[in-house]
Amino acid sequence: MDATLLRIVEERLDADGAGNHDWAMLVLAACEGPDALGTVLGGAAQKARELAAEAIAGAADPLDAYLRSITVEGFRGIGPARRLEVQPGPGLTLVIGRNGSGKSSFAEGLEILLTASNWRWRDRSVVWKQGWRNLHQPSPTSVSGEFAIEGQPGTTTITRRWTHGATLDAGDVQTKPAAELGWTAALETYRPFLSYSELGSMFDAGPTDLHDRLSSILGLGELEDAQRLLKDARLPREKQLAAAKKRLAPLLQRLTGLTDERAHLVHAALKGRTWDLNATAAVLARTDDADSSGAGLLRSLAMINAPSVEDTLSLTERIADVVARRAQISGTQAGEASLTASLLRQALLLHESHGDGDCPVCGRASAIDAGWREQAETRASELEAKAGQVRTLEREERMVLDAAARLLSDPPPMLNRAEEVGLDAAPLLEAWSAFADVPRDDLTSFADQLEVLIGPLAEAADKLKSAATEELARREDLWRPVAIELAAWLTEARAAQEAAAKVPDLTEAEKWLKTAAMGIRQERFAPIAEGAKTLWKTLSQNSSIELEDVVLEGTGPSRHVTLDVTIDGVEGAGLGVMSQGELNAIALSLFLPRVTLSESPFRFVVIDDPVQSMDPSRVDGLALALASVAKARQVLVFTHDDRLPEAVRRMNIDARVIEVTRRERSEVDLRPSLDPVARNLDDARALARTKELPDVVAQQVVPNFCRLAIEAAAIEVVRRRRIGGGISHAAVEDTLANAPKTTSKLALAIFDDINRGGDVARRVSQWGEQEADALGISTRGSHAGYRGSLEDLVRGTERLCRRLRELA
Amino acid sequence: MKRIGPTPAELLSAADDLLSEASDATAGRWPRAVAILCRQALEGSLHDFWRAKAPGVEGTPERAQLLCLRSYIAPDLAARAEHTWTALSRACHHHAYELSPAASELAGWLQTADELDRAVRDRLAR
Repeated sequence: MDATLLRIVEERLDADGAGNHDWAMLVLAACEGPDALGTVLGGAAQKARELAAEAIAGAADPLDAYLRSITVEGFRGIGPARRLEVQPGPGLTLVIGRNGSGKSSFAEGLEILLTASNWRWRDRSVVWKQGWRNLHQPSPTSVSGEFAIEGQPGTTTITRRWTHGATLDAGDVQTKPAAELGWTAALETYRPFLSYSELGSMFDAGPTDLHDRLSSILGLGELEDAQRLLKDARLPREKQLAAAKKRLAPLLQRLTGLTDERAHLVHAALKGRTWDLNATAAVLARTDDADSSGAGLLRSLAMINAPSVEDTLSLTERIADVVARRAQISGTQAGEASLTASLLRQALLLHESHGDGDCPVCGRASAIDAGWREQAETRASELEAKAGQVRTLEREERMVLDAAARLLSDPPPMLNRAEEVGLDAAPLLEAWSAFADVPRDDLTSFADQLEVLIGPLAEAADKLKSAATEELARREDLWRPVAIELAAWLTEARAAQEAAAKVPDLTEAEKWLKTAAMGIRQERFAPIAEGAKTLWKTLSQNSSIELEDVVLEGTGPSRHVTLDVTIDGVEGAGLGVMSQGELNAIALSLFLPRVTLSESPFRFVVIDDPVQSMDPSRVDGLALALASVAKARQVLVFTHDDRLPEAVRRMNIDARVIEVTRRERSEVDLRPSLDPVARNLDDARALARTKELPDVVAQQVVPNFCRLAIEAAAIEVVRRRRIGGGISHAAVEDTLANAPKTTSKLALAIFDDINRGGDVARRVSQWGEQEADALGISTRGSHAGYRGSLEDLVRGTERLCRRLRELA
Repeated sequence: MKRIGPTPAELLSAADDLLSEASDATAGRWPRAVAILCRQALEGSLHDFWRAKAPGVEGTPERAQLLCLRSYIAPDLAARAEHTWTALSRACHHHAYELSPAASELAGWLQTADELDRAVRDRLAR
């Protein structure tokens, strides 16, 4: 961005108290260009200040330039090289030449020379692009401009040369290119060229286009570029976030369909406006799901420990064994046998120590002896064995009952929660409870019932276990693919979230810049609007149309220019009621002020044919307007007829006039144009003196030029007198058109009466003999030729013209 | 009345030279010089014709002479001669805001003037 504009932006930011907020730095960076914006978005926010300071400090003011000459060769209407020289300084120069004389080739040549590499603001037709080489001399082709540049001694020359076959925009630029002079941006902003076609089309494209053309002068294009940069930075970020959102929607949908607890956790983390990406990542990172109650329950159910068929059968076997053994030793009392055995042992012990004797128990005499001893020892051993058997059996019975108690434990409480995970545990509960509740009083029927009930119980248990296992697998199958997609999405979402973090600042920066641009536009346009109003006043001599104000309004697609125009004091008059000439004049008023802006390096402006479709009174206004601009600027106007030069001469406006004529084969002649009287006298004098011209030609032609000089002097007198006296241009031209003869023109000039032609010769003879001779010879000799001294004739004519001009 | 100046053919050849040859002396001055010579040649042809065919007519206004000419030579050429004479008169008088005629215009006028002169000589020779 232009350093001046950058400084304005920075000052406005500071005035708004934007400080070093990130968005403010984004504004600055966007104004500095794409690279700077990239740096600031990359995190180096404060770099924006440094860059701005550098740009402002480093910006050299563009060098003011005046045009010194334009040389054109083999281009458009010009064949052999011709050089158009102008005074390098403020002032008005008119280049006149008929259509097709080649004059516009100088204007176009200069424009191409400076801007061909920068062509985008112009839609040239293909025809134009192809027909740019001169027909008679297609090669060599070159355009060259000499400039007097402030602070640079001598002349700076820019030349563009086209090699054979090169296209228009492929011309080779030699010596200093416009870019090196710091003109590239300025050429677009302050474009010092205006052409009739451009002026004419100014209002055709509508108020939006007009707005853009006017605001391009303000250099606001750069502010728009900056806004575009911000927008271009914001949009992909928003898109990235939107894309992540879009991808999340179906994932969320799938998560709600899952009963997995992890799915619930992730869903909760992601369903809101702000995503908890860390929580999501934590869930995804979980390798086991022990904490997940649902899954834990399922896993427990899958491994449930119900009484097994094997255990039951081994129990019932042991029961049967105990029952059978008890039957064998039935009736045996373990205590009695054991006491009897111990009594016998006591008796044996007594016999051993005291010998044979009576029975200590029943007292039967001599009952204990050696025979008894033998029997008693056997019987004690038998009794002791029996008591042992009974005790073992009793122990086994206890053990069997313990085992039964263990086998017949109550169903675990988790079975009651099976519904939570969608399983039906009722059959198992029923079978299990029945199994556990079998009465144990009678071992045989107990075992029988166990054997009956264990079948359904084991079946129900297997069923539930496999159902739980299946559910676990199903859950895992649903979760895993979602988890994989979530992991991929998470990466994308993190990037999107990071990118989108800049969006609020970017939006804020854009918003601020938009508002600022409107303010800056208003500020910068004010002097131009003022200039346009002033110019229009000058241009619109005697017009009933007044330009009250020019306002640039709106933004975006609704941006437009409002021209506040009143006609005969009536407000709100549209452009529709204006003639093409008036529209051109308005366009000129709008666009001419830009060349007077002090920021423009161009001290020159080139205007190609602004006079077309203007009526004569407007041409007077144009001449005055151009003269006012020419006080401080070099104004170069190309025009196809003599109206503007005539107005300039009549109103004594200081101007140089150069006439362009084109011979056959595109040989173009340039020469300073004098006023018509001086030019004709000059022509007559030159031809009278030219030795190489055949006498016959000089004798025929010189009297004619003398007559033309006299007529021109007469017309000048008539115009000055009548237009100065308030008579309309049209009426004056009518009068002159009705005076085709030299004599009638002189009658108007001398007597202000077209009917006094008969008095003309006498009056002129009163002025002097030479004057009278000149009049006689030039009117007669213009048909038949003159054999006398041509130089005397020219001198006499000169005197006559001087006398005539004194009349006005 | 006997001719005192150059013949129309001489004038036209001088005009042609001016038009086609660049010279520093005539730079920028040639368009109107050519127009003047051309006009004089055209009027010369006209006067020569009437002097031989109907003496007295050559003193009437040129416009009238040109209108009468249609009865003597090809009307189409006569009409073109009239247009050319009008254009030459405009170029030779100082006319409001008009600039010098262009080379192509002049070439056309010379062509017509030349054709007229040839037609007149042809008619007189019969």
